[in-house]
Amino acid sequence: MKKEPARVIHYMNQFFAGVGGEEMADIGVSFRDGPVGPGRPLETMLAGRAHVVGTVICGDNTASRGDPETLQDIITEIESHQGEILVAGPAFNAGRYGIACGAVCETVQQRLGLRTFTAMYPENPAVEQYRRSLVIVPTTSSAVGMRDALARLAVLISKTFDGTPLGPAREEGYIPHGIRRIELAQRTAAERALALLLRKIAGSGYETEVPLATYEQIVPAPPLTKLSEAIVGLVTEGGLVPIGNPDGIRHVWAKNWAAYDITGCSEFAEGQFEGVHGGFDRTWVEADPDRLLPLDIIRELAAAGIVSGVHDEFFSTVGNGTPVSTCSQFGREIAQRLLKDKVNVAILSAT
Amino acid sequence: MDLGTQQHVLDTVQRHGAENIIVLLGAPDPAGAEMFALTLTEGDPTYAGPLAGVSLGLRVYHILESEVRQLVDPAVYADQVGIMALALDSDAIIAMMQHMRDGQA
Amino acid sequence: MELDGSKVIAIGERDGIQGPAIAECAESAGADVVLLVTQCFV
Repeated sequence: MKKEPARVIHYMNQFFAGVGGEEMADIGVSFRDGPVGPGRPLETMLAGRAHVVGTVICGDNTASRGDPETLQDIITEIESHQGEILVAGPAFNAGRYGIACGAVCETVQQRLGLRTFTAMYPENPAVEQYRRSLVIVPTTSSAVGMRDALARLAVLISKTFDGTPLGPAREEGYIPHGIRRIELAQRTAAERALALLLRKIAGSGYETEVPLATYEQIVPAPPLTKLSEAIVGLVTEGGLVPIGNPDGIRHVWAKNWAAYDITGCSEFAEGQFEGVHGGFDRTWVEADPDRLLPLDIIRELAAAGIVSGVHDEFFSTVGNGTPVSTCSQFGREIAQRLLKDKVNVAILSAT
Repeated sequence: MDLGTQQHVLDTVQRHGAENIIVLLGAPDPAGAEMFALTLTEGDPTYAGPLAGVSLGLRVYHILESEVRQLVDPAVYADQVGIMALALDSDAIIAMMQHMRDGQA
Repeated sequence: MELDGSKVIAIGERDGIQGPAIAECAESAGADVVLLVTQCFV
């Protein structure tokens, strides 16, 4: 019995759709029949077993914000055009595009139960956030690797268009989900460890059972030459927020940071702030938040002319279980805000 | 290469003929040089722009390459390019350009 | 490769060597610059 070719919908951003560059990143959701831009070679590579029946386009700013209305518009387009499979990107190393692809794929999987595929550079910040739930094909950092990325996506789509499940990441060539399944090994850990050691000594190649995370070296900023010129910004990952946690910062694996006004405050007023960090006993911080962020002392130093001034906002998030890639992104965003307001020194209190 | 520039290149090639044109690049790193060179020879590798699937087959050089420098007035070159040649990773850029042209042969 | 008498497309970059600089070089070598662009990347 001949199976109908699967109906693939391709999600892409404003640049790859040929609408425009950064200046078009705020456009909303639109749909075009058939393949667009990189969807054309993808269509060819699918060789008739599946067809790119339509393309959903959205600006990177709009999509990466993850507004419910935007996601619903995208869902509606896919549903009304009877999409059976969703392909998003490839996003390469573009952060907002990667996050948009991740959010769209995850929403489509959850709400429509469709199979989704996306592709991006393994160090794209979105990978850490989405690899557990999504099939993400690794790509080069720049769009030079477009053809290769599309070819890999086409292979995976073709393998699974009739419902066949994908094999393990290492065999199929997508980024591992990082999900641990418990299995009973034939040999004890001691026997396996010795076997690995003997292979390592013999130089015959070995694969660790427990890959350890590596951290990049951060080059520190050059030191301030004159303390009296310091305009100090206060930043914390200790989760200090106004009572009621108006921005809903999570106590673990934070998804956002926020800025709160401290204009004219000589210290953190008692009873106006609470702690939301899930990794330490917050009693002492809530009794006196200056213990977490030394606003009172910095104000004294400013009054005495030892530093020049204090920025009139403090920045807060929760570093408890928040992935390094997310924290790096938060750090960059907060730094941009501080730099824009001419702050030249930041104090970060970590817990 | 942004979409507007791709269109300008296409228009210029249609007006003058690819065989009569030499492209000179000023990209600051090998990855950028590679992207431009691919777009101008085989077509837009991102498939996003007017040069998607359009193989212009242009002759492409980088302003830092010796084949270009030796044809330029030395005083003009020193003035216009001089210091940037030291600031950029010239060896890596030149190696990429040669690699791209070897692939074309 | 000859620049003298050739038509040149100069594609410069803001963070590399810019379009006008490339064009000056090309013209000093006897070329006719038919397109001059300087790309800027955010």
